Amino acid sequence: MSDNTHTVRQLLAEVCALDPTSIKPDAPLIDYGLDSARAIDLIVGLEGAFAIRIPDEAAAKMKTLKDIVAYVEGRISP
Amino acid sequence: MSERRAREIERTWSARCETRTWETLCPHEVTRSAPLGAIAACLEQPEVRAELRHDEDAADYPKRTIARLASLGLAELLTDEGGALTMIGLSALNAIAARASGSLAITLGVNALAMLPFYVAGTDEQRAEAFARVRRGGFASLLLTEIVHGSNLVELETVAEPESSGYRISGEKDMINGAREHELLITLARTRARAPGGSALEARGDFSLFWIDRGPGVVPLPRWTTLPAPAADISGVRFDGVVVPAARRIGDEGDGFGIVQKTLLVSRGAIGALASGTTSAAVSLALGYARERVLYGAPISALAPVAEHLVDLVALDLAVAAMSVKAALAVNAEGLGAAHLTAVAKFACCRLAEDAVTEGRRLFASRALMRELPYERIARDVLLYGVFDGTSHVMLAQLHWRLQQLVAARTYPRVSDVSGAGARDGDPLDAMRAIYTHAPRSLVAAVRAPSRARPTPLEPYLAALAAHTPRAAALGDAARALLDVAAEARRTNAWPANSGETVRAAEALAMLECAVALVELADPDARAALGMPPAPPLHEGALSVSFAGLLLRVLGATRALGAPLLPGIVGQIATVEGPWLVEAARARALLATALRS
Repeated sequence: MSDNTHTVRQLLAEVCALDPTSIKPDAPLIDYGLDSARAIDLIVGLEGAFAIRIPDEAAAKMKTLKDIVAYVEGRISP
Repeated sequence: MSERRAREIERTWSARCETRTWETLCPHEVTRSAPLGAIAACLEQPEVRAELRHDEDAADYPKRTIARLASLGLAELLTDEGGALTMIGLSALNAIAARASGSLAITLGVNALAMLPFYVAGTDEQRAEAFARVRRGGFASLLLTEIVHGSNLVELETVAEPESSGYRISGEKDMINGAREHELLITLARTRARAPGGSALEARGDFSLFWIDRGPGVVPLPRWTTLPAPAADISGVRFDGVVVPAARRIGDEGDGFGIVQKTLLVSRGAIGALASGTTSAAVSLALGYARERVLYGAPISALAPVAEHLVDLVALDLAVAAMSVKAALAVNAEGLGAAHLTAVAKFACCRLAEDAVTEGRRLFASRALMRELPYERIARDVLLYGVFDGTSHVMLAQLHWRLQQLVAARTYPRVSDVSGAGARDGDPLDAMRAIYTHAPRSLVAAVRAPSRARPTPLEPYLAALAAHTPRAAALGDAARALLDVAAEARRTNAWPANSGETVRAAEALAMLECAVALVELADPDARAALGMPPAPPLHEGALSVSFAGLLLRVLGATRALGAPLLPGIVGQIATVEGPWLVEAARARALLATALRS
């Protein structure tokens, strides 16, 4: 597992109050209780952790952990 | 009663005991410097209070008073020049204004709220232009609500359709503060149709935020007649195909929902300051009245039933101010990372302020119900704050989720903090010192700084603070009991979603956080341990009464929630509360004596 995947998983677990190991890469985020109110916590956390800004348009397309990691790695890669 | 006589009464009651609890607890001397100091002094002048009363009675927007404040440098607090635009300053302004008039306070408050999107996502050019308008006296409004959809933003119907020069906006916003009078209309509109069957998460990219000026096609709607804050401009606007240049879009297209969410994370903390100001005004009037009115040969403050109301009112005022000050300082230090504390402040300050004002209403009896007498305004205005920036019901849902986060944090490691505002995973006292000692900073910088929105784990923090004050040890016990009960409920799935238990647990967490803030800001030993200068002396017994009241609320709720799940919790709670029941009885007698004259 990449460091980025580890960090995103930890953040998602923290926001959703879950065991990080229970978060599966391909499972829908909505299954973890992520709603629009919690999503802003995740977005703020990701923006801080990776020093990026995540537009709502991009956030709306993130449906799984794997989607988030792919977006983050696309933004931070040189 | 003549207006002149009513003014004399108000002057007599207020002038004797002007109460400034927010500034008393705040470790920064914000109100001693211009422009806040001058604004506070102005709003305590009898002629200005009379002017505000007149506008409220006539339901007139408080133009004259705003003009006075403008001449004293109000715009400096609202624009990022000279370092005066800070969350601490804006919250202090809310508290100061609310002491004078709820109508004035929410008028100023919405202006600060509506400017926040510029800080969160505006370009340098947009901020410069908006600030220039504010310096010239322009006020802003934030237009989110539509009459049918309330706070359910993903259903909003106002649309912004792209066209060659920008966007054409059509729709109707209502129940908006400042919709007829304010000139900068910061408006959330749909720039994409909602996908059929799409979730709320997927809908977040459907909206954009626009800065709209008054002009052709901007049609003001009638003002609402409101029970509280009757001079405030609560009204609506219809947009009849208004053309807005693309340069007036705040943030990227599709980013409006997130900008608004970030705005509300911050602004709701300042609602607590409005509640604090109104509560302090209630204290001022109640003390003045109880000491002035003679019955059976002595001031009524000496009568036990009256003294009981005074004791509870003063104790609640202290609690409301503490939570509000902490939320402001947390936003100052952590920006969006203060989201948990702003939700607590929004819920708890408004709820406790309502309780406090009710104590005063009972004290005043019939004199609280006369429109010509001043307490009637307090009783009306306090009802308003709970509905701003996400209703109290929305806050409770969020607080129950935070409680789940605290339970999970007991078991699973947390990601290291990234904010730099405080090493939350290091020494717990250092993390809180970072909040309490952070110098006032630009709100623009605060909301743009990296952050992490999550509650501080209470048990390790309170264990560390317990080395300095026994009150923290009691709160640590209360936190452990509440989290034990919540953990058991989670393990056994005992509390269905959307149940009464989740609401009561959320309320208990809010009161616990309030009690923590109270100890941090009002207990001299805790204050010193967190690096703050001493606060001015409080009424003797006030801290103990306030603390015991909050602690007993938390323990009472935890006992009721825990009894079916963890029967042993009842005995544990009795052990914790016993000494504080004794302390509260002693302190109530002291405080009643202190408030008598």
